[in-house]
Amino acid sequence: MPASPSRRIAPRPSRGALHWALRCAALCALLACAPRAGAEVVVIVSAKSAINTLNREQVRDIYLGEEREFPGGGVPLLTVLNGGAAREDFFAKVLGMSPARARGIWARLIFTGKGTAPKEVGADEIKRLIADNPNAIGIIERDALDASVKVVLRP
Amino acid sequence: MKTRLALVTGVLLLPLPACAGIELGDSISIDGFGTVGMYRAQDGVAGYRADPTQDVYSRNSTRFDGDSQLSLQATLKPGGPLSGVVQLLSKRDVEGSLRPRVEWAYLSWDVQRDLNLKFGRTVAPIFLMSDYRNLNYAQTMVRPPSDAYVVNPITHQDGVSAAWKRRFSRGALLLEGFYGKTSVQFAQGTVDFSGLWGVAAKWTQGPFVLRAGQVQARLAVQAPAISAGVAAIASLPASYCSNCAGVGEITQLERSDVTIWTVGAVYERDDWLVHAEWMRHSGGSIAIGQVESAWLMGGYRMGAFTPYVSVSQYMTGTPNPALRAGPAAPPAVRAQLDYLNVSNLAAGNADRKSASLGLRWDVREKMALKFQFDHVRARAPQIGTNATMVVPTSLLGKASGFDGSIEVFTLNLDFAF
Repeated sequence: MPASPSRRIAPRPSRGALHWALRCAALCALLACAPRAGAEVVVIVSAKSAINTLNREQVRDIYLGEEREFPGGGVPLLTVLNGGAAREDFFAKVLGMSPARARGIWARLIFTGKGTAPKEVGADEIKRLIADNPNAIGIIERDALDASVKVVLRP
Repeated sequence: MKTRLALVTGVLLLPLPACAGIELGDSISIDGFGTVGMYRAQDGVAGYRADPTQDVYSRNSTRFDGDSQLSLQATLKPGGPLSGVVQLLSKRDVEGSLRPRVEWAYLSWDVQRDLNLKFGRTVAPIFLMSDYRNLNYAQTMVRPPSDAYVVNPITHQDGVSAAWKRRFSRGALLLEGFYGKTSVQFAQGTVDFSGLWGVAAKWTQGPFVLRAGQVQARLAVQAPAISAGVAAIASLPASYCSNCAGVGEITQLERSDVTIWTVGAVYERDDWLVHAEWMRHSGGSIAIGQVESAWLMGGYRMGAFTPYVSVSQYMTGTPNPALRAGPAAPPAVRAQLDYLNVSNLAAGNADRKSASLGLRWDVREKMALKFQFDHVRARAPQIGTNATMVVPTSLLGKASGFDGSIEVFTLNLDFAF
């Protein structure tokens, strides 16, 4: 009789199987991380804008109606992505609140005439809109950057 | 009932396809908000009004008016410093009509970066939540605490308003002022506010907001039934009532100067929120005289859910009119005079304390479902009706049996589009 039958039932994984499992785990991890890496949000303005950098508080104040103009002047045209992980990142990392709470603040701004809510647009349109308007500000995924826009904040 | 149900269903369906405000070109946008509300006051004797400017109330009945409303706003921004806003609001009024009323209609002028002027029908910034008093979606609770906001039901004024905002290194200061006039309709009549002006200062620093304000106005009450009642009291012969002839000076229906002081505070850090406000109303009219009121609300955001608790109170300090029975007054007249004294000439005694428990659920962006339970405890349940509670008086004849406590349940769906 074999000394340890259990070993036969659950044999040690072969070197090849372990290697395969590790590669699979690494691939899975990469896949899991991939959307996050690609979805990293950046705050952008037009390449024609005179603004080169803004801090998180400035962006937050502009989006929540606390500040009506850019630091150097000009009334901002606010835009935000209408979906996707970068949008989630923007609410969490830049505005520091849930989309629902931001909605409440924007509703107050609209219905008290004290400001406006950001225009919600798709990834392609947001870049075109911002590229064409020196007063526009918005967000996109870092991977979608090109020369028509410039990053003012990497949260 | 069918009409009401159709209306509620219509209001419910309306915002669904229109998830975002409509932009008509670059310069005009249409936005809206609304509430589909349901409330029920659990008491067999006393009724409760969710909105004191409505004629209806709940007494062991489920009502779909109260907070229910629909508002549309058109904003015209041609570019530059001028813009215009017209806001229509449809909400059951004192005559039972849903006819839309012009809530705001103003021309806005950004005079400079820090200074904005508005001309026309604008918000009257009296309280912490005056800016968005109708906008239930932007509030944590189902409605502004009634015990406090009933002190002044103004939502707009016709005139001019100014706002000056300046950022400092530690925070931001907002100064607001307005001057104009307005009128409010009640079940008993109309209150005209003339020479209405106010100033307020709001300091925002990190998670804190502190606000203080003062408002003054001259009131004139047009209420035929109240005037007839006052005239009837004044006509009592001196042998029945020795000082009733001068009752008109006490009621101050035609003219009364009022002042409101308010102090409010907000603390919102991470998921915690605490809002509080105190207000004092001074004036000599029997429509509304000396009142001190306060409320405190605390909540905690857990993802899409925000449970909250609130306490509030409303205390009057109006002096007893001290009508004195004459030597020939029969017992019924004496009882009537006693009642008029303790009820402030039948205006009621609305002193009360409330405790509320609620849950806000942000179902999705721009839509929140709220449930709230209120326990209201009246200080003088024997006196009878006031603007919020409707209950027969126990002071004239049979006791009403009202023990002073009412439970109110509210389920509201608030939305913006």
